[in-house]
Amino acid sequence: MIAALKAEFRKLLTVRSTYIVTVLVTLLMLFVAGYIEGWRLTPQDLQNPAQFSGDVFGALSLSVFGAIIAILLVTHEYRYNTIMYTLTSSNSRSKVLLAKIVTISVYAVFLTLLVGILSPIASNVGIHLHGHTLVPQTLHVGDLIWRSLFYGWAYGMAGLLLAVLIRVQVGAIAALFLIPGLVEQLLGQLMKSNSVYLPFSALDQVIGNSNVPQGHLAPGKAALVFCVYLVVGWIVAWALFLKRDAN
Amino acid sequence: MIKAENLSKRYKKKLAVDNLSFTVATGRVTGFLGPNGAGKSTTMRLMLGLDNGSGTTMFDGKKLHSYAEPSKVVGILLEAKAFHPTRTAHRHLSVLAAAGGIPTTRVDEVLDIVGLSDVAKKKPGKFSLGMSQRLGIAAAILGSPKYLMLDEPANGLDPEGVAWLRKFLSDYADQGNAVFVSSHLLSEMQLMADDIVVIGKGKLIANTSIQELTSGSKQTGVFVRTGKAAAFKRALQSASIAFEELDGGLKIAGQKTDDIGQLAFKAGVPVLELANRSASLEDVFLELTEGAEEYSTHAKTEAKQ
Repeated sequence: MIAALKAEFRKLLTVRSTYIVTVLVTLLMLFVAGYIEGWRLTPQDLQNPAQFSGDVFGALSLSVFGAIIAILLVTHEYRYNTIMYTLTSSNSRSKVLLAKIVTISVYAVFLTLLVGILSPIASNVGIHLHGHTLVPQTLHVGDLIWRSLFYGWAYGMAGLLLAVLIRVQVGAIAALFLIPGLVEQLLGQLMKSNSVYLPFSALDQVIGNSNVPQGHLAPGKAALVFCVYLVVGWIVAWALFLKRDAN
Repeated sequence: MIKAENLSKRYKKKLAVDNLSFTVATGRVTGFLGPNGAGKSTTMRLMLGLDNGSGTTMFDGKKLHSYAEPSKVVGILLEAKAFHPTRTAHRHLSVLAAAGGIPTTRVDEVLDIVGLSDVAKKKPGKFSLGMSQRLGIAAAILGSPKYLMLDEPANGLDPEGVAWLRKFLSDYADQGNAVFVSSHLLSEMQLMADDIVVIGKGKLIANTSIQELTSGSKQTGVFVRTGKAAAFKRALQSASIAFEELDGGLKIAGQKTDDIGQLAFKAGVPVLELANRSASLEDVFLELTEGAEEYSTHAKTEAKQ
């Protein structure tokens, strides 16, 4: 298992895309937090005691990039056929899958911490550079941390799950954007208030975003709903990973 | 020893590998031959557990995945370009080393063995096919495995590279390892391999040594050309020796040149040519796989008619 983990981390850290995506996320976050959520804040926003929490949750939309890294980690293996080395180097496909889950979990947590820590700092710098002052902030640190970390991690897991199921890079990335952006929107028209239970709708509610006007779930319950989807999805993905030909 | 038993693989309606059983001995290079589409690559993937099918493959009596570190048991090269194009050659191998529990120091050693030390820090995306094959061979020998399974490793290699590969595989086998190698280059295989496994349409056609295979061919025998063919045929018939007409002479299987020369002398037949004629691996391969080709040319079909 240690060997599989070491290999997955080396795969992650020895391709350009990991660094390009991480730098891109950092730059985007610095721009959005520093300029839009800092420099350009309105007087009403400056009076908001939950502004920092909002910055953090807002910046977490960049977690989708963690999912993209997860997709690249898996689909590159099939695209370039290195999967044959991966599967013949380990004595268990389950270990390989678990190593990928752990690796992406670590990266997703790292990305969330990067975004979560830097975005309020960048926002504060933007506010001060503009000569403004923010009212004292009320922070529920524990709540902020678990909801942020769960959201970032869950997006990474969703990306990894789609990659293991679909195995084709374009297909997995398309699914990552189409499921929350289109499929759930359409299903929402049919399901009305029950659409809060759709996977990405539920995940958004963990950080307080809801596209469902008729209602929303408490963060804990929303996280639980998303976990149910993840568990079911991973059972299917695991069975397929064991059973499918490696090509 | 590698022992493959009852390997089968079906793709929807097509049976790609059909109850295939054979052995690959240690200390020898075993060639794996078959026409295009015969199922060679699928067989190798089945043996390695990459594809799901039926049958078992035992490496020294154990399944590959029952070993704690499989890459120290079997080294593989199934596709030359199996690498991330922007991950340098050294990093590509260091990933494989990590996966196999192999020290990273081994990476430099294998790059040196295959002659890629100078491009170790280069991205392999622009490597030629020959360089990619060398990188693939480096990956295969990374864990110093007892078994090597190589699919068309000579493809794209220049003549110097092919000669190097031949010697390398021969030396590797001589160290008590087993090399199982597929190739379409039959002349090369004849020089490289000790034993041979031939399949056609997913079924086993032969699993023997090259020497036995070629000596049993219809093409192998004593070739005689004489000025008095009719008299010589009568002499052969009276001695109950079977023959067949070939290339303006007679081909006699299972006899020595000395005996045939004496027979001609006794019959008073002038001999214009007397020679041992050995079948090449290509001759035997074509004999064995006749009708077992998945894809054949129109010209060949016409020639048969």
